Amino acid sequence: MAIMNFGKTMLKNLFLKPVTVNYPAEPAVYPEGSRGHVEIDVDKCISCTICAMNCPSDALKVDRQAGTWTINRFDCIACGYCVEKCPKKCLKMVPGYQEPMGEKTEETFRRPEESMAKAAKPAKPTVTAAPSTGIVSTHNHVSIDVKKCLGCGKCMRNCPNDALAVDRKAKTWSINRSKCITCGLCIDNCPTKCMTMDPNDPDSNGIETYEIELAPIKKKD
Amino acid sequence: MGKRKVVPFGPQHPVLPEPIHLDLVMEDEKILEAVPNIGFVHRGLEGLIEKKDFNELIYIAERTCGICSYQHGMGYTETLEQIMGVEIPDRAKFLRSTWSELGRLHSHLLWLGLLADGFGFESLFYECWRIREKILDLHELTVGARLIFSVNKVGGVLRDITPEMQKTILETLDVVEEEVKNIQKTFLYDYSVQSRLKGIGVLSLQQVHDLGCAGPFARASGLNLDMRKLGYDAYPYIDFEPIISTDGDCFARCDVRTREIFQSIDIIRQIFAKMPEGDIAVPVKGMPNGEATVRIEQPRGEAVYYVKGNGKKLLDRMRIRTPTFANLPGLLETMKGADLSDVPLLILSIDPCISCTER
Ligand code: SF4
Ligand code: SF4
Ligand code: SF4
Repeated sequence: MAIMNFGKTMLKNLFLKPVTVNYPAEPAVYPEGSRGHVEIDVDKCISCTICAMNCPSDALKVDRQAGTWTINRFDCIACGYCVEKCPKKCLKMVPGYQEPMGEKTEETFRRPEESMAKAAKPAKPTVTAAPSTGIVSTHNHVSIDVKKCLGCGKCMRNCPNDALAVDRKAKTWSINRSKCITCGLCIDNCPTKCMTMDPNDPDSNGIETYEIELAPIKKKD
Repeated sequence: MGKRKVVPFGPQHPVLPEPIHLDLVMEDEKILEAVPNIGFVHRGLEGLIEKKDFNELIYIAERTCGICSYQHGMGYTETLEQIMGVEIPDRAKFLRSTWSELGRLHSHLLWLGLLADGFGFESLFYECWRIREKILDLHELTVGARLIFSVNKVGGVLRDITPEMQKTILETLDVVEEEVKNIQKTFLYDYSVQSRLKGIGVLSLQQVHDLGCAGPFARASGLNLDMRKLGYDAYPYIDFEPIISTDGDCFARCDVRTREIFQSIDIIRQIFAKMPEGDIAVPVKGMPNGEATVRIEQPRGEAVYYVKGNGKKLLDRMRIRTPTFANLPGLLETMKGADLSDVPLLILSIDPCISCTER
């Protein structure tokens, strides 16, 4: 009979161990990929602010001057989008949920001095004249193939640190090496793939300007 | 003829998981009319398009609802994919369907528990939620969180379900199936439960059709309407038929949802048997430009997503039509002539998600 059916379940439950665990006396077990909280390997961070710009709940603050990365764990919704966006892959989600606290606090991480050194260099005000057109310029870090460049300005719009300037009228492409944080976003966004980056190049400063050929834009049918 | 009185019901009430207010116009113990009042949990999610770019909105769309969170994220992402003309890999389609069905399982188990609580069967309520906990563990195993999945992105999904995970899922589902079979007997054949559910809140096929109801609520009245049959994601490869009942009362709604639990388990088994190998995402470039509408089947019924983009990061418009919104007119209809003591059950029988409705 149906009534005895549930009676059986109830009787069984009387003799079984509780299904809940006695947390926090007994630790909770999380599976490996559990999205508990965000962790940063701050040594690798280049303060590009991409994570802060993309965080849906504005839980992150990145201060490029001070070299800090600040997270408000109470605002963080553990979505993992910053982890996906970070160009240097220095963020990761690890198990362990945010513990309750009396008030909302922020946690700040500071980049080590060595990795800050480059960012701190002052920009040289001199403008280097561009070599004549047609050569692939192989300069430090970001290089451009001036023959392929369309002058579309996508690199400039995607640069998180305003290191690039593209002027279609003057037919120039210029980079402020002191500002560039070598995040590589310009390269990702370039439609003609005319930019390359060699991280082993020596550091340099100053603004370099190149004349570009404004390759004709191929229309899609 | 008795004197008319107005009894306020909600927004706080022990049986209501979420806030809705009803003014019940009563004559003696019978309800003549119910006047709804919503807007207690409006969060302005659709307005956030002005501040957040379309990728961040995936995580916001997911938070429309805590229960069908995965499917909200998925529906919104698929709308974007349609605008941008992105074809996602087959494996991603199968993965999305797996999570949709896991979401349906946990949602229906949650609802069964709430229903049991609604008619005063507390131990049955805990039994349902105990079983549901196993499904939530599967969520955490596969995506890293219990309810908010956050695994969708334009162009595919972020995580894969490995063969080991599939094995764990199948093993857990075997156990869940046995346990649900056990509680199903209580829900469907117990004399006291039947007396609380049978013949309560009857809606005819014509009525649910005219009122535009959706999901299991409409299927319980015999409306053969299941958006999964439109063939999005992996559903074209899966062999299943929408589950319908003809009685149209609370008992039929309970019956439809319990049977849908078994159907979902079966669908997941089929998905794992047919899951192709390959990539789980394709790279996507550009911004959405244009508009699209997508309809998907959530645990509560049909949800409609509309997105209009203008080729920039910020969208022009995002609109979500949730199933509860479609079912509210049906709910008010069932209230006419009902007893006051049945009101909690009637509200529960549409599986209300007021937060979804108000967004
Ligand atoms: S996990 Fe999401 S909410 Fe948390 S900091 Fe990262 S982007 Fe922001
Ligand atoms: S995205 Fe990564 S590298 Fe850039 S600031 Fe954030 S943590 Fe640092
Ligand atoms: S790598 Fe490119 S996008 Fe990044 S800062 Fe340098 S110039 Fe800007």
